[in-house]
Amino acid sequence: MDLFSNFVVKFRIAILTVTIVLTGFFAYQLQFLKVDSNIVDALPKSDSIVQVFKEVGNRFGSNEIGLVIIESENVFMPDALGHIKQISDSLTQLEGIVGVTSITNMTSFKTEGDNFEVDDLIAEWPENEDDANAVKAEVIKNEMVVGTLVSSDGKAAIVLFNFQSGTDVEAVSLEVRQKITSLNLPENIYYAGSTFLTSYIADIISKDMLKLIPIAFVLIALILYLSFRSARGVILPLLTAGLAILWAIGTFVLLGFNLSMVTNNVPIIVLAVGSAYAIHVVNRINQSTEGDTKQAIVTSLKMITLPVALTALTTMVGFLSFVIGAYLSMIRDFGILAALGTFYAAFLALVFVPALLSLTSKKTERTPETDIRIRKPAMYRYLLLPLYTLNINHPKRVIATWVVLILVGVFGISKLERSVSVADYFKTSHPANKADRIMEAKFGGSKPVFAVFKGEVQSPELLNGMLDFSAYLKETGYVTSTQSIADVVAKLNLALGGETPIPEEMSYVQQLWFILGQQDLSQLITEDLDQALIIGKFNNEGQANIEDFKKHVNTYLESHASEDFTIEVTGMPYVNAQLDKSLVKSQLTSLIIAVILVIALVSLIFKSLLEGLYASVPIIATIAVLYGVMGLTGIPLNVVTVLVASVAMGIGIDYSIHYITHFNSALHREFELNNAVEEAIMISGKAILINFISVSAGFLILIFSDLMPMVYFGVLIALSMLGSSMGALTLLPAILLLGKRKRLLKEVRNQN
Amino acid sequence: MNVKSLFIITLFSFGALGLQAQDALTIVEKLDANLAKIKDKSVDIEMTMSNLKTGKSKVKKAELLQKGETKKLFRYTFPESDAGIATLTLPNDEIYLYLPMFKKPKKITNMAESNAFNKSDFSLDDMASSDFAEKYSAGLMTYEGDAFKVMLTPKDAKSPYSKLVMYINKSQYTAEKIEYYVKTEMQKFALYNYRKVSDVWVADEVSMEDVKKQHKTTLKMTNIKINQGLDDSLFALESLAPTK
Repeated sequence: MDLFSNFVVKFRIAILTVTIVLTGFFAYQLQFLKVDSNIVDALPKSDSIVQVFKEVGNRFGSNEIGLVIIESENVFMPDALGHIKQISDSLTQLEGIVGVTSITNMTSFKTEGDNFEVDDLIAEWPENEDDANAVKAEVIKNEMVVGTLVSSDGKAAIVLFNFQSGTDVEAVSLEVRQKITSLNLPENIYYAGSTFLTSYIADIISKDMLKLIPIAFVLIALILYLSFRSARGVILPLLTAGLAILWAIGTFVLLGFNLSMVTNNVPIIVLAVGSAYAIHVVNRINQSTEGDTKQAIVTSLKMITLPVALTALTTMVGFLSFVIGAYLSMIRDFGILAALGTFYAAFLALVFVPALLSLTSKKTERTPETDIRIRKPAMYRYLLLPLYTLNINHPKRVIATWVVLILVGVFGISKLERSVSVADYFKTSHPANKADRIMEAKFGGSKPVFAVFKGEVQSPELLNGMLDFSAYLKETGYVTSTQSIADVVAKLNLALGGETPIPEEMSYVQQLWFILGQQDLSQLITEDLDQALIIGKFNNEGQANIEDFKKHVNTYLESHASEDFTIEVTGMPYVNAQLDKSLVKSQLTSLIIAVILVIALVSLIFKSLLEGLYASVPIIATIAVLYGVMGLTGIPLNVVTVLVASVAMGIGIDYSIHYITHFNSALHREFELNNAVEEAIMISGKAILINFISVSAGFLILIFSDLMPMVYFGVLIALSMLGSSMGALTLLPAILLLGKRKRLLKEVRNQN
Repeated sequence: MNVKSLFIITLFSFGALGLQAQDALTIVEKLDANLAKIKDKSVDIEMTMSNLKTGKSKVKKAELLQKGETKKLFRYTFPESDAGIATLTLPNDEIYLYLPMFKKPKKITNMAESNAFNKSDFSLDDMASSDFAEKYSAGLMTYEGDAFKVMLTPKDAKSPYSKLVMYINKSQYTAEKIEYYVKTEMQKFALYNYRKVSDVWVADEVSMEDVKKQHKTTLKMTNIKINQGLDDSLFALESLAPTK
């Protein structure tokens, strides 16, 4: 430690120069920063359900569908219809978009006698309300269109399109939104489909970064100033955290990672957590009695390096637990980025901050601990003293209260909900959320399920199988409508005078193909005619009962095995179900890893397993209460809130470490329990409370995010900081008091 | 630049513009006249449809009988599954489809003309291309190598294209290339090869590439016979059934 301390002071100029150069280097990397919030991209490639889903998406282009929803009192009115056409035409012109379909450019076919009529779906354009109602009555009879391109009440229409494969989907979807906005249409326009959701999320992430980080900086600066009342106490922690954020993101970019809606909150975390390390270092140097600045720094570093390194290590362990436990790559990336940020923050606090301070003259500042019992500030009178009195007089009641809280928590956990729907990530006022509700209410849901039929597509056996399976899927009520090549063949065959929906001979089907060849069918069949797709609309009720649906499907698959074709079912609801399972699994895995590693580390720090266990009790109790609150208030477990427990574990454990350190040091000095509790609460209590307030304030800034998971994350981390700080200042002292009382009496007796 | 030289340039520019439009119309009329030399024709067509993205292609074969611009009988001979399928186009955009399995021909009304014709990249509109001078306003753009580059703007507002850019061979007055534009973007282009049949230039290979869809169709014509005096009865409804 001597070597390190002397090194920092001796090479201070070199350290500062290297810091500046590295900062420039990492800042340069920021221009290559990309945001990728596509959940599908973050799914593990090895998962078979995910594999099938991605394969289907790539083969039929179904992962790259965009929908523009036009909502109006009557979409068949001349103006509204004109606007739908305007949107369809505008999209057709855009580079990177193919297959634009709407009620204004759809063709329909019917037979009258020997005439086979192929015509525009809306053959005669309405000129007034009566015409509009007549057209509406005609169009909504067409089952190929209603519920797909227009709602049955005629109040919403959809312009459907595909992103051309290989195109920059995110850039094109932004262009689509800009193009349609520039049309300045009076109807309500919404965008649906996973590409738009991803694009919305990327938008919000970029805006959040610009909006929330500065607010968090200002707020934390204010709290630091109020706490320490010195420029140094404000600037150095914030500068350290700022540099750590920059370095971490720079390294992240260099390693080839992208930001996502999960990694998005890392800057706030590093700001809140990382500033604490610099605070400890500055404080320790300020408290030093050495007259010479450099000597003060060397002495202080010897004392503070180990605690800062260890608290950073426990926090990093909390973050790194996601690298092993995560199902989604964006959660793993979060763990890596947050751990990187924490590492840099601790490193800079121990190297850069002392190097910088060694250039300045030492300034004695008022420290939070020195005279608190004499000055009796408000925090002492209203918080610390009552906490001390409570601990000394009623340790059993304190424990009992926590037991009750934990029981309530356990009860709440039983009510904990999980959410994997991307649409739920948006606030109810956000257009993406509104679009999802319209899709659900008027178009039977927005999540497609796919059934892939592999075999000879033109064979009557396969086509009949498709019709049969489509009807079977709809029996559940979860699949509201289906679309397949078999529907088209059936409609055409009946229109041409066929007696059964599907012709009995393949050669008949092949001839029907001559007419089908006029349409782009790449979304329904492969070019080689060896695979065909049923696209079913799945509603939210189905997602909630996905396991029932899976059973229903499996029953069919088991009893309808055919030599002519195979059936494979997949879709976003299946992926969501997999994601749902993984949330619980990854949550448990990363939490167990975090708990074990943190207890092991703390036990090593204190050289006692028992104290390692004591230290973890407040945070484990807090996590139980936290989940309980989530269950009771309806905050769901999702891809972001799943991180809370392990993050809380990593950050919250520091409070216990600080408390036990002071408690032990006082106890070894005086052998007097009450005094040890008093000193620990008075000395570490203020630091814990200030840290709790600043960290929570940093995280509470996330309530201004437009992404719901971020809002919940901010609130939950703040809540867990409240829990772990209060746990460290009430539950931990009570346990230590009761646990150590017996041991201490025994030790005193032995000594006597 | 002084006022005098500006005046001279302006004068020449107006003169040149007038000359261009007039020349372009004449050029297109000469092209139409060339096309009009073919009173009727019969050809065997091999149609290769290629997906440029996947590199996969399909081949179909057909016989075509054509009389004037309005009567066409198109009968598939290959692959076997398509053999016997036939379309008959008659004046006033009357189109009949014959599917052998369904026995009776069906009249197809309002067949969307811009739709790709049986998965090829030629729309019915493209396949019926003639009378350019009547259907389009012509403007000469420039000369390119051995060709006039002519811009054709459709007179019919319903045309699926905003303009055509046609490269016309200076000596033969035949189209070498046609680019099809929607607004300012080129959607597809056709390339032509010719051979002389009975002293008339007749296209024996045409390819159409859809730039956006990355799809290409090549038509190779063999056994080309023109001006044989094809009888109207060949274009009667009854002739849709396969001749065996």
